[in-house]
Amino acid sequence: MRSMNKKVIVPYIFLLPALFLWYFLSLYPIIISFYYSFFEWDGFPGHTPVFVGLANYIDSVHDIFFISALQNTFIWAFFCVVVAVGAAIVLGAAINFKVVGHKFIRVALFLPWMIPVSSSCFIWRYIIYSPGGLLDTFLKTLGLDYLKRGWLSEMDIAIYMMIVVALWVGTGIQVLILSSAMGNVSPELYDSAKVDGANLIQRFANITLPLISSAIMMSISLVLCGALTMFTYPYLLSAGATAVRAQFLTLALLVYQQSFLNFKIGKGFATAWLMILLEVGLAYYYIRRVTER
Amino acid sequence: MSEPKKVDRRKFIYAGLGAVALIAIGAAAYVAMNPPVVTQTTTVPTTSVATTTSVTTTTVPTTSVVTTTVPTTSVMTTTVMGPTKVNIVTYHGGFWGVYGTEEQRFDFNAILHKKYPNIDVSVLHLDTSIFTGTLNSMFASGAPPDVFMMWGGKKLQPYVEKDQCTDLTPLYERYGWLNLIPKYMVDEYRNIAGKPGIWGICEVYRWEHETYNADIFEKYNVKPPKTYKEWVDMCETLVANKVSPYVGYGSAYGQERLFSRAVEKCFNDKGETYGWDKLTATRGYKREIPFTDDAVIKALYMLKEWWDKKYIHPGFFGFGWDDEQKAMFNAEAAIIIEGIWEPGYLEVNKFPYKYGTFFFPSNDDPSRVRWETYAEGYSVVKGANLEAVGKVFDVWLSDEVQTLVAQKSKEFVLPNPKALDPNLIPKAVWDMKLVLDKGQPTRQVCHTAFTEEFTVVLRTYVAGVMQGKISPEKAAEALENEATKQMGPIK
Repeated sequence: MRSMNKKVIVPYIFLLPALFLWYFLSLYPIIISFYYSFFEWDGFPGHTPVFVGLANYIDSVHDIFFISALQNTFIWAFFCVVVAVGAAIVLGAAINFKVVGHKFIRVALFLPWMIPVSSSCFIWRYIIYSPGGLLDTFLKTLGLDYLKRGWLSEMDIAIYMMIVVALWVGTGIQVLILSSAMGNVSPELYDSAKVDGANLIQRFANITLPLISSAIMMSISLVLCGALTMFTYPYLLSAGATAVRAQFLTLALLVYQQSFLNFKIGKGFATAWLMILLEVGLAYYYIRRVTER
Repeated sequence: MSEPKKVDRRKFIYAGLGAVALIAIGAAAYVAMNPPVVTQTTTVPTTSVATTTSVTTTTVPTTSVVTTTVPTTSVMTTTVMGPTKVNIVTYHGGFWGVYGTEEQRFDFNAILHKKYPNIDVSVLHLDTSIFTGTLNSMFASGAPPDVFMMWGGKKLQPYVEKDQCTDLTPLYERYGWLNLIPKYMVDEYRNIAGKPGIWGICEVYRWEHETYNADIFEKYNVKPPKTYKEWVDMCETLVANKVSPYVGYGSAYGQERLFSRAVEKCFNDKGETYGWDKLTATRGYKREIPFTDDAVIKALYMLKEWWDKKYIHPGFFGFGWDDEQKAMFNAEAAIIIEGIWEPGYLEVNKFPYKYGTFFFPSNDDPSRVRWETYAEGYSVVKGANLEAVGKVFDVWLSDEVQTLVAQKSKEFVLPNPKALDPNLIPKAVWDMKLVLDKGQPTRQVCHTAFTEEFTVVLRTYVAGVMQGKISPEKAAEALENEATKQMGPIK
């Protein structure tokens, strides 16, 4: 009996430090943010939060930047999922099927992922900074001056340039996931299909893709989660610039703006919870659809 | 089922003891780096009037609140301090916030130590575009600095309103700053948010103007404009010669500055009399005129026209302080939209061209110049060591330091009048001062007249209009709605 208790209890003792960290860094902030989303609070010490019910949620939805933040968040989600996962499938196949240059592709994809995100953003600012950044200089050298744009300052294109940077950094891990999944597909299946006369594309579409569908699902979920809570890239690449911020403001950046620039932490929490509801809703819908299939 | 692997008890205990030892070493290191301050207190009485509120509860379960006003003695304590560090957070600007060359700096701490050996100043300076967010995060996390740099007016207002600042009247009285610092500079930090008291120490008084590259002007035979038509002609000539007329700090204040100029011009066209309180851009925010006024809409159209005609450098919206200066030093642009500090900055950083200054001609009467003023200074966080802060600023406001600041950084209109010396200040700046002495400034320039919350909206919509993303009418309507939401309807 004592030995049984020990077997049950000891693992939890080892888990305690991690649970402790998870509680204070994750669970507690989640609970407290929900609680304070019903309060008007400026975040300054000594100020008592005032209960306002759902006012913060209503205020958040009516925020002058809410719609553009929502639109931008969906743009991030769409392009990240389509391009990152799509590219990961193609590049994963290239690595897995050992096409010419597959080793170079592997290094080229994984290297950006190993650089800290802030360093990547810093480097990319030098590249796409306009006028006079590396990209502009490169275009000028090729005689393509007319293609030069305000890559981070023009409202039409700033968000897409940021997505490019995020994809450059984040595609590697998706390739890793999918190429590993492809590696687990039994070669005999391909051999049988070859014998049956299937060409490369047919083998890929009818064998590889169905068998790695759970990995694709996981990849889409990861990318979607990251895109819906996108903060780092817009914030670092814009270097805090507020003038054109509305054009690449995401919900997460809006949370920051409301909380720390506008002294409305309660409202910021409300926006954060609206963001969570959106993600949960999308995730539920996605999982239901996939499970049904 | 296989047997679970046995945990070596001895190793487990050693690991636990090792972890405890590490924690103990860390705690000891922390205490060593942050020694307790030994204080003795003596009181230096000053007097002020305070309102006291007493709450009485009686046996009948009601609570009555009695407010009485009694004269009390508020005390500033003097302490004998151990080593003390005063933490200052600044944005880009001012003595501690300058990103300039080493020549502009001098060892302030060395001068401070001569008088107060136990006090040091530690400075964190942040780019203006991230300053407010970072500062507010520090407050929210419970670790604010002791002193923070802040513009007067609406920018400081939220911090005073939210009771995060200390009334510095005791310091002013103790060190005699009321007799040193000119009244108009003290008044910039007086009675903020309707709260009596002095809520900051003005470091420098600013005004807005244009600084131009005189070599470029000479090359293309262009003169500083005195009328708006001359200004347009100047811009057209420069554009034709592939030089951007204007460059600015578009990622932060550039929008407000351009907006302010255009609005001023359009209201002058309507025949508005130019005067002390007639800064029309901020009158919108003060709810005296609506943002949907046709002159404001016309100004927004004007801004779009300036952008379409390439009067503004193409990198404007993404430019930070360093970028606009670089564009100026590389002669990519002829005029920089900064203010009174710019000539000093150019001199200290050895601008390779001749330069001059002029005021934006928002009206066609050269004798009536348009200029806006605002103050930059330092406020003290509630709970900071006021004694130590007082000593730091006692040295900072001294003749020795202020003269050095004027000499090295060419800053102008410093709080110590001894620094207002034509021998120390660039001639172009002194000449402007002589012009301004004849006229009257408008007060409260755009970017200190608005709260940060409104500023972000204003910048976004002005940028949106200039880039053709939103019509001026819609932008004006959005600004009016936001101003109503934040500041109430038109009075």
